Amino acid sequence: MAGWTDSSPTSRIFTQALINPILGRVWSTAAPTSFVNLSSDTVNAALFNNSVSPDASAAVASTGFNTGTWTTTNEVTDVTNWTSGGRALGSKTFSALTAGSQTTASSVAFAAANTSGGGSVTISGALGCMVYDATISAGTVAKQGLCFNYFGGSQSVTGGTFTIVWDASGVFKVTN
Amino acid sequence: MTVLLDAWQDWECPRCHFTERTRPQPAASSRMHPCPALHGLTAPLVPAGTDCTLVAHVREDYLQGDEQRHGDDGRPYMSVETVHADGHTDLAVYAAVATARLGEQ
Repeated sequence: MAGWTDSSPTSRIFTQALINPILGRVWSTAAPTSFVNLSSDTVNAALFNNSVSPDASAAVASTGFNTGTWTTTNEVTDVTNWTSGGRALGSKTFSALTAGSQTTASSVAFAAANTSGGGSVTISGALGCMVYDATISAGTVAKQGLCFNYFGGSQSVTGGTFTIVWDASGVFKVTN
Repeated sequence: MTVLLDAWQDWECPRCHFTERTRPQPAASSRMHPCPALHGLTAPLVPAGTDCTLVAHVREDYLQGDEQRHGDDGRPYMSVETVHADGHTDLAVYAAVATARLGEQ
């Protein structure tokens, strides 16, 4: 069986990305090769069909773009304006989403501006995206995945614009 | 003498008729607004005079723990489609936020 609903929730942060690089500063583990931070690195969103089987607990070697279930054979692309590898996220931020209190949860979010193709696109059967650090070249896994985000169903467009509107809570968030 | 041209772009929502004027935007850029005619969803604006309508699509799958964008009618929505008179469409897709939780919630 394969499909986005294999995962519950269907939009999650990779555990290996939490270990390194997101929480990597708390331990002596070396940062991934070429990684600087999510602000200066190129972070991409690539579209995928329903042949993937997202697993937030996957081994690190299976969490890179074009590894594990995230192979280019399962990727959804447009010939010109949403090519293999996806589109880069712009206007990225990393900040406290909710401050919380002594008795209520707080959360920290990584957010970005809405992500659009570079013009009219033809996209068929995109069910979600994988967000990955395209600057990471090795150490953990090249082009390491940070998270995957489900769209809630199959999305298609012919000869029009395709825009990912990120949630008001961001691309990913960690709640404590 | 140099003549300075002042260019602008007018935008509108075909559902709630909200309007906005901006400097010319890059190709395929999108302008968004919270649309009261589409349950308060973040919906695209179109260049003024465009013959089209906007359609909001309810999420097709169970939420399954996802934090999906909801309209003011309480339903989870997955996209807003711009349907043009010539038949082509534009799509704004609402990605659910990816989450991780530390400790018990």
